[in-house]
Amino acid sequence: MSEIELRTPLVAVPGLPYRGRDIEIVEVASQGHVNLRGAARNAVFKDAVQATAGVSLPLAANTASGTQPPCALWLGPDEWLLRLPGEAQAATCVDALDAALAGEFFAASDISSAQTVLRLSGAHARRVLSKGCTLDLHPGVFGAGRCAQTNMAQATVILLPLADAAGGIEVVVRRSFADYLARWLLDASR
Amino acid sequence: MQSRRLPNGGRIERDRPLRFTFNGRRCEGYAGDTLASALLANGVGVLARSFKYHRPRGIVGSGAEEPNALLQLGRDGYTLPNQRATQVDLYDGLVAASVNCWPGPQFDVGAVTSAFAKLLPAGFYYKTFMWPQRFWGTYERYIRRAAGLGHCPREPDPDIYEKINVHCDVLVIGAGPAGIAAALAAGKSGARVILVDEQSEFGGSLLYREAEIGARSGAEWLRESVAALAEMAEVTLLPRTTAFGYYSHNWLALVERVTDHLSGGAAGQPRQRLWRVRARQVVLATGAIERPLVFCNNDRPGVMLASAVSTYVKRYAVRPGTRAVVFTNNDTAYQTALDLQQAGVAVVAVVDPRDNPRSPLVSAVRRQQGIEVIDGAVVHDVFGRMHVSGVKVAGFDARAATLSGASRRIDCDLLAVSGGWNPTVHLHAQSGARALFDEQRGCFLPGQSVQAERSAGGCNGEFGLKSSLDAGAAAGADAARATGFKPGRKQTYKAPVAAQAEARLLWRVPAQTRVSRAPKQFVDLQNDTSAADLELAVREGFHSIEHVKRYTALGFGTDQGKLGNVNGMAIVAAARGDNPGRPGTTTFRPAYTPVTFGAIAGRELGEFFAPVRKTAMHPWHEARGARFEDVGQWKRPWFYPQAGEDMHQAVNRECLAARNGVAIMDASTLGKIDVRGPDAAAFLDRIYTNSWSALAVGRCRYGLMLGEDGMVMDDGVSARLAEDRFHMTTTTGGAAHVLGWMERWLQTEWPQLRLHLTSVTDQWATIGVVGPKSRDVLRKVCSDIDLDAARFPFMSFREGSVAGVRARVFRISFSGELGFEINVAANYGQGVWEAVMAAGVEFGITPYGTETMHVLRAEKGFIIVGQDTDGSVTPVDLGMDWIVSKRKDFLGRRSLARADCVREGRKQFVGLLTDPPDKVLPEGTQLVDDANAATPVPMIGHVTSSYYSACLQHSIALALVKGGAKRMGETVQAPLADGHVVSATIVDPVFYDREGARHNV
Amino acid sequence: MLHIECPWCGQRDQTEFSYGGEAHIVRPTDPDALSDAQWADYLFMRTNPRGRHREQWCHTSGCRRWFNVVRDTVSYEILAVYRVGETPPDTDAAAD
Ligand SMILES: [Zn+2]
Repeated sequence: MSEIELRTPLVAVPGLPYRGRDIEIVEVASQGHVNLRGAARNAVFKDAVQATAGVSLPLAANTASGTQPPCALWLGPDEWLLRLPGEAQAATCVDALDAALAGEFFAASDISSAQTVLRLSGAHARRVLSKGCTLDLHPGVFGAGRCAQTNMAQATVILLPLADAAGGIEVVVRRSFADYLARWLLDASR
Repeated sequence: MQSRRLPNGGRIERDRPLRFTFNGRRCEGYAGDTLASALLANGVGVLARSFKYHRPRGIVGSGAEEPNALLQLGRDGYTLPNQRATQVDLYDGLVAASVNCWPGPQFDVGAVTSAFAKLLPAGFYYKTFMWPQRFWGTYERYIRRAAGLGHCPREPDPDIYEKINVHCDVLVIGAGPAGIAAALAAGKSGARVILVDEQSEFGGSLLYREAEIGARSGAEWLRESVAALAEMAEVTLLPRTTAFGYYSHNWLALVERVTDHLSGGAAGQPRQRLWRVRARQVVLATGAIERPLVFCNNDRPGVMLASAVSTYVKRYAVRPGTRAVVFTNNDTAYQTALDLQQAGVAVVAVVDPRDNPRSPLVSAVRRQQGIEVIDGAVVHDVFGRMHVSGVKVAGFDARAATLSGASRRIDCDLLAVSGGWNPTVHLHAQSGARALFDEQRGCFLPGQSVQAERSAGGCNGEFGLKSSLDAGAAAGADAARATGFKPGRKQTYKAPVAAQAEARLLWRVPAQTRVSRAPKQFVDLQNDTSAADLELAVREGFHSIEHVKRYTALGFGTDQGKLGNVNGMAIVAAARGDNPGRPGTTTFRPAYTPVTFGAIAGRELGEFFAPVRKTAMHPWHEARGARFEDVGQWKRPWFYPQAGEDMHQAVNRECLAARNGVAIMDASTLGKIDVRGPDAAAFLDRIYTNSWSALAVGRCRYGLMLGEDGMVMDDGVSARLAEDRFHMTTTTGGAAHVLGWMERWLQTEWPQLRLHLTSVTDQWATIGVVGPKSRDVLRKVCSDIDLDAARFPFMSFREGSVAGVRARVFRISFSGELGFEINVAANYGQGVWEAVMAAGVEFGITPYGTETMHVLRAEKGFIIVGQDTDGSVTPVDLGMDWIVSKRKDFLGRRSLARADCVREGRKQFVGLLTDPPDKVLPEGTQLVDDANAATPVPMIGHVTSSYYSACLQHSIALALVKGGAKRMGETVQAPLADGHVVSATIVDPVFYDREGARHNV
Repeated sequence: MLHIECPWCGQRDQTEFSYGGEAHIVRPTDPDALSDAQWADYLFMRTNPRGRHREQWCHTSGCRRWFNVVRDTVSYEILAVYRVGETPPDTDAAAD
């Protein structure tokens, strides 16, 4: 897109990526993130998303259409997060949706720069997250296919359990909180 | 020299000796000891002085109930005050010291207070020191010095504490027989179970009482059961963990002492961990605490709870005395007599107020050689000052509640007492339920549950082993069933049931003389509250138990009256002529036992105290040596000092660069909201005071937002991106609130409006380029936007690219100068910032921070919401009537017509020019008309913003002054804290470029 | 610590929510038609019952939806949750 260097929110955090005993933390940077608003019952809207992003919007609360991009995460009764492999895809997707849905009541915002993803894996991942999160993270309750918006320490996050056997979880966090949260997670993993 | 250690037995590890010191004295104990058991093993009898009278005190109990053995542990930053020796696991190198006495517990200067004890009745401090009121501060200083239990560490705590949140199906509190049975029953069903116990070892009474469960000994059953629980994948076992608080909706707080019991802690491990548990069901198996008896001088070292004596003998293999008397009103302490005798302690008498009690246990004691069972009698006084040397025993006339016959002396150095058992109903009561007095059992029992909890075992008045086990199993199964699990067939345990003789309730042993003249009969040992104090309180009119508590300090100690409260309530009842249960309990409040601040703080301190939000350009600011300012949760560059510059010089330089050349600032922290939908403009019309429907696409407008009360809430510049789309900005600190505010109106009041609100604050990095040469700089990095003044006019925006990155560029100004705000995706924010800096080198581009931003806007009289406003300021007060539409309704409009909003004399926004011109008033300075007026001097306003303006070479200030708009040119006075008074002239708040010529170029 | 059921996301910890005060306060359609006293009544006056209280909460850290709760101000028991626009359920029957 330009000569300008892309800097992820966590580029300057010392200690990342972290590999400790039974816990690994890495930033999954530069993915595409699109915040999507619209009516779940609007077929035109849903079909356009399917056609553009290749995902079908999950309608059940706290569920995700998949664990890896492209996938859609339920955020609210009329709100989703589209995760796409790269930020260029996000920009393209938003432009395509704007074109395809002209005149429809919906909103698509490219927020690829607004948030980043921390992936925690290893046997201790959920225990580390439990130090800052009041959700029930038991794998039997919160497994792959689910997602949740909640608090982690003093930041608002989206949690996405992964399909791996060790029960890893991805944490989507706002850019400005990412540095704080990464340091917090590193501290909690010590 | 463990002179009191028994040669064998106990659960201590004799092959693991541990050294520790007490008041400097070297002592030795074993792994498995508590500090209390180790002190007793070393023959330490007196280890504290009482709070009020400085009477010598020794160990009374063996657990959470201990009122006396509060010690200072550790040194320096690691020190902890008020640790119950009975709950401190011994570790190698432990350093313990007495508190509340000087120079030591054996000889204590403060004990002179004892001589004046008669002069210190209940309420003494209230009566004596509250008058005259203004001397209270003086009194308080001396009283506090005389009181106090231990000292706080003066250094930061070097340890780490952490918190963890967990969910479970069944939380079982207490791992005695009932709790273990409950956990087994629930655990087997597959439910998620957490079993906690405050002690280092699970087992409760099994740790000191021999038992038979099924075909096994109690100890074997315990070992097997704990092993079985440890095998269950969904069961979590937490020893050394106190459930200290039961809050709403089955949310409980536990504190786990992770490394407290290890010498020097353990690397990487927290000292303590706070567990925040959301339990679907709770089983309380918290047992019971033995109740002491109230008689004269019952506080002497050597008077101990019978159960504690058994615990020290059986669990810790310590002999707390050499010649013992047992004083009990019930059967359980007879076992203590047997335990003592088995350990080689001479038990000379068991004194029992009951007449000829009959039960197998009593008979067993009667059969023992040398133990005289004196029934129908009481111990009514104690000999010995520093330690028990004997007791006075007399007959007891239960009907008259008096002593009868002659009193005899029995020599002893240990008096084990039992007044029955108080079920530990604390958590049940904390859950919102009410404990009820059971006349038959003579104790408070759990009442109706109000949360999902049930009690089993001793805490439910089920004192026998079999009844505890069965009740526990049933409670665990029921709890699991309630959470949807199938616990299977009901389980009952086989354990012998011994018949017991009925206890005789005895709240206070009669004294030989009137209570007020007799030696003190202590009810609350920690606070030195005596029976006479309680009776005095009732005589003086304090009838409610809550009032008596506050007047006499009954139950106010760190032990919360675990020993004394029930006796105290019954004594108050008797003084009122009521039944013992009638006054009820005082309120049970968390924490069950004291919790350190460290555990409550967890990791939320230092860099984790609050989130630190950073912009995309933060690393650049840091590298450039910026000093940062906290704005909300954000770190914003405050100013960028160059070598040798102080803040003042740096800000002056930055200001002049913006006014005369070009300067650049990071404005990314502004809140940004994407407002999108067919009704977006109509919605903004209701949110902002001015009109948005008529704003042309491509144009920007400044908007002011009011609360429904008419007071200024937030402001910002928003742009119309399309017919149905706005890029809205808010203040840095108000971003989250404004979004929430708008969502609330949209969702709850105007759901018919079709628009979506999306926060894009973090998406955009915002770079403000300011100054007469800003267009020249921008031109070098932006080729696809026509920057010509006429074709890109003030208050408009363009989309294009800056340094090759897609950008939204706004031509707006918060400085009064020509200015542009470049918004780019934050991932490229620093790159674009660097490109603009590079382009600006030839023009002397200067980065500036929030301080310069404040000065520049103050020179222009622009407000900062939250600095120049405080929630009590209307747009009219600010002189901003021009932005308040008369043609439409908007939030807060009706309030502007309220009588109070239109009255004369409201504080209005003005400028101030000081005399002398270089004197910068502190922000917040109060303004008066005449500093020499008689006090109280009428206040007429205050300074909201104040700076030195390098551009104007004058100190300028913004202020809110009563009726200020009509007082232009008048002089006000600003009295400063240092006594100086500065004069200032009221002027228009726009100090610079009133015509607005500079930004229009 | 309350455990609140968001009508969309289900049971969540109180820390995820923000409190919005009494529910069913309707903004007057024509504020100008009101006297100062009537406007003040809308603006400032709220019931403060001992017992059942209908109130607004927002799932701030979750789906960001506002909704209504019937809560007992003494026991803190939550008797019902319902979405904006829905009629308040009859909690008298449910609770007694
Ligand atoms: Zn929700």
